Amino acid sequence: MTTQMDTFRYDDHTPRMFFLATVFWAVAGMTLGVLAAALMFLPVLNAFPWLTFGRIRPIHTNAVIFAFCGNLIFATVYHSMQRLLKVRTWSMGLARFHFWGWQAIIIAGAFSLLFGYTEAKEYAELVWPLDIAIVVVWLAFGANMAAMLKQRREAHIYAAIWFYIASWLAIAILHIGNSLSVPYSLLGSYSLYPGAKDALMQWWYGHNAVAFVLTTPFLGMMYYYLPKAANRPIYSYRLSILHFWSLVFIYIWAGPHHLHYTALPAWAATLGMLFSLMLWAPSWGGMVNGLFTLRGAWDKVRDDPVLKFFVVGVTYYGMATFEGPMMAIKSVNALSHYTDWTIGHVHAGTLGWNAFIAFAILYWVIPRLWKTTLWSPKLATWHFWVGTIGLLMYQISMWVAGITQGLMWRAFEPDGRLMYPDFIETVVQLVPMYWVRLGGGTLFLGGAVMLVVNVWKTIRSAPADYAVEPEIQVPRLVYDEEMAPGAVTAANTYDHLFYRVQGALSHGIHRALERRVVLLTVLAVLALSVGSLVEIVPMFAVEANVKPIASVQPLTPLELLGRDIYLREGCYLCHSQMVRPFRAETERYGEYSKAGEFVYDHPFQWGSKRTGPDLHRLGGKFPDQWHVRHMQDPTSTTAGSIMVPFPHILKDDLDASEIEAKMGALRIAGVPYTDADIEQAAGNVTRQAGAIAANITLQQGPKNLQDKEIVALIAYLQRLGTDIQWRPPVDDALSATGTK
Amino acid sequence: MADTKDRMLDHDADGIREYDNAAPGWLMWMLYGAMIFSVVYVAWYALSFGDDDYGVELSGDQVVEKAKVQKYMADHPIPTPSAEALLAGAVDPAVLEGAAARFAKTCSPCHGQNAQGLIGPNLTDDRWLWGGKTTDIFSTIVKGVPAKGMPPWGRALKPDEIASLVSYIRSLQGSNPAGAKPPEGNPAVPEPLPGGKM
Repeated sequence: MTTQMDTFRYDDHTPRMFFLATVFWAVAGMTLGVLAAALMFLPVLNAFPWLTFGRIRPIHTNAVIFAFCGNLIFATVYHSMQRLLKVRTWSMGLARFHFWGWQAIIIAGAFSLLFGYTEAKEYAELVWPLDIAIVVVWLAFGANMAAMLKQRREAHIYAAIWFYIASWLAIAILHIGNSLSVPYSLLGSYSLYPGAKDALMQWWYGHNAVAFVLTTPFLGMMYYYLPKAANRPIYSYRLSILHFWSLVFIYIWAGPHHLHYTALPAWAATLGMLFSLMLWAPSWGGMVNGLFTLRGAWDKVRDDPVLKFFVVGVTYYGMATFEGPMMAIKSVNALSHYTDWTIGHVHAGTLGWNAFIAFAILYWVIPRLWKTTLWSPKLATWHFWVGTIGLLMYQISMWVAGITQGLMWRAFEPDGRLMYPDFIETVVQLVPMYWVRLGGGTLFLGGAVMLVVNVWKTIRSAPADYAVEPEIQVPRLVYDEEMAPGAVTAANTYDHLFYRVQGALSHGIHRALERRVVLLTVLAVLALSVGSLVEIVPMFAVEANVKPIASVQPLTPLELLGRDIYLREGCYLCHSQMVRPFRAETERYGEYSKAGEFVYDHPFQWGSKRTGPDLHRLGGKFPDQWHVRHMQDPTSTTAGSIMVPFPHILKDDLDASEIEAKMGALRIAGVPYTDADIEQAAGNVTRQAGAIAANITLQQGPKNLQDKEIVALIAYLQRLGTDIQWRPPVDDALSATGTK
Repeated sequence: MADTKDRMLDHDADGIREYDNAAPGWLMWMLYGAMIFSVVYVAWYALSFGDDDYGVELSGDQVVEKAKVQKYMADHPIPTPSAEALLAGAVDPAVLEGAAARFAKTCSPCHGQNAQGLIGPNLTDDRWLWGGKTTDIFSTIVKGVPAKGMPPWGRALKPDEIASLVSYIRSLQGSNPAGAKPPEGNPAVPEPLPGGKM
């Protein structure tokens, strides 16, 4: 039987576009990161309402995750899938729509965040119309992937593609699951989920954004580009199967480790911890397969900047996936959570793993896609060293800052007093480390600029006909023949049981599965569903998980408007609203937070970082006038404060025009506002604002603030944590200090 | 390891070949170890915290720590400052300087920059809600007035710092700051300062 040959050309235009976008957004996203690192501890730089840490930080995270890493994922999927499946991009029109649609979402997202339009959930801040746009573009991407798989000329799909498929599925599920919200205007909406349930959904999403945007697609890339660049075979096919399925199954459970000792039920956090521990070995499976693939190529590492980036990138993946499970252990997390340690950990992954893998691939692929050679391998080597030093400075400074602050928060005097009762004492201690981090980040950005120069010069040296792709001839896939069950090809000489079981699973079952893409996809969906359902369903179905508290009432209309200012300014990025059940926290803040207190919170605002103190028991702690002065100039009430000043909130008029729509949307989400509540909302706003403004005047503050945003914000802050009765505990031993 | 000899598979994915090596045994044991630990942990966890409540953990911790603190306080009693010492501080510039900084940081948000009274009472007049003797003021600061919103500062401030604040407050008696809050509470004649000063 003669084999029929197909002739076609690869589409390298689409990958070229996405790779260039990757380079652009890498520099843009890292520049925003350096800016955020400076805005965070240098209040004087926060000079305009739109130029504050709270606005810039979400733009930074969205830019590096979804713009830089997102474009790299699309670039490598289009580039490597065509080659691994021996097909051309199915639809150039869809690919073009995918490319420009994604860039448009990024730019629209950046500007909407800059102007304060946000859903106030970390890494899911984009407003609801953009959430829908993401789904549309994602479907275009998926359609192209699916059609290419359908038209493939290779019987088996290779490991890289398993990872791409799982990533596509998981991101679709997570994005839609977490982004459901009730709109109240063209750009505004409230999360559908309340309080503790919203927290679970958010970190199910948040942790798996790390898993399925920053991990599995990059492992897919590693499986294609690392053996290509090193010209070595993959170390272990069996290991690739094992760690792929275990990652997909286990990762999805781990989210609740972001919520240890919060008002999330302890059983869910326990599952999060245990599955995080089980995640360690499968993650290291990826590292082992990457590093062991380089056996026999170590001499090349010395000379080749591409392999240097790969080696450090894969090693950092191993470092971060050891640190992650460790930080998921409850007792470690009790120290590390809300501190800079978490920030250091995330950047070990993003700078060390994602960015270094990206740099490796870019230095390897750009000359090939433009049919030329890299302009300066020497400059690339410089980039490697500058980047590595920047990375180490970043990491070490954040370790030191995080552990220092965590220990200071919990330090007690032997007489039972907190050693550092003023939160600010624990902040000023960290400022030198913030300078080191700023320096490290700047070096890392400097490295990325070297990349831009090298890419620019390389592309300039491309031949005029670089865009003309050669014809490829491959045999057409004959289904009957190729689809026969797989067989072990070489005699099995290793006879121990363990090896034979692995062999039977990989060569028998899995090898066959690799030809049945639909079945593989279904199995991946099942693997992703188990952990999701086991955690989410009981949380929503079993009332005992969120014990109701009768005294907890919905916010008043003015407080709701104040909360929207809190969301808009990104207060949750530096302040938690979650007092953990630790003596060190109940001493400092007050009664620990209960799930029942957050049932009307859409979205939840528990936060993940305490650059400033926890705010859940803030209500009633300070007089209204204290808040006025504090917002105008935080250092006037707290010497040494690094908080962003918000003087414009004292001047800007309060916009109450959407209050009825906002309350209506919250009612749909489950907050029991009555018709009367909504009808009387405008009047209530005026009344409560007038009372607070009068109180401020009485406390010798500025007059006539009743129409300004500040009164709404104060109304909200004074309400925080006051729906339950709690008192500062009185300790007999200490009272003995007194005279009576 | 005997079973990690590189045997090449006949797969080929765009020129990428794969070995048929086994997953390293140590890696597998990391996975099995984590699984075994998880099962044991769940069993232990289910048995030791009946109602799955962090509050139980916290109150246990509080009982233990409270006992420790009580023992420490019994062994290291803090001498109650005498009225003489508190009054002596009120004319000692070194004491007053430190106390003024602490007052600005901790007390002024409620009592005003010049102790004239804001949300809390005026501290410069001769009316006192909780006793006007220096030792009374010391006791009020230590225990606070939780019902009125004043925290028990004995939990946050060192005793000598509280003593210096009392001295500082005494030194402000009759200072008549601008915008003073109307008097509240019962009249009390200020105790005389050393050296006959007022």
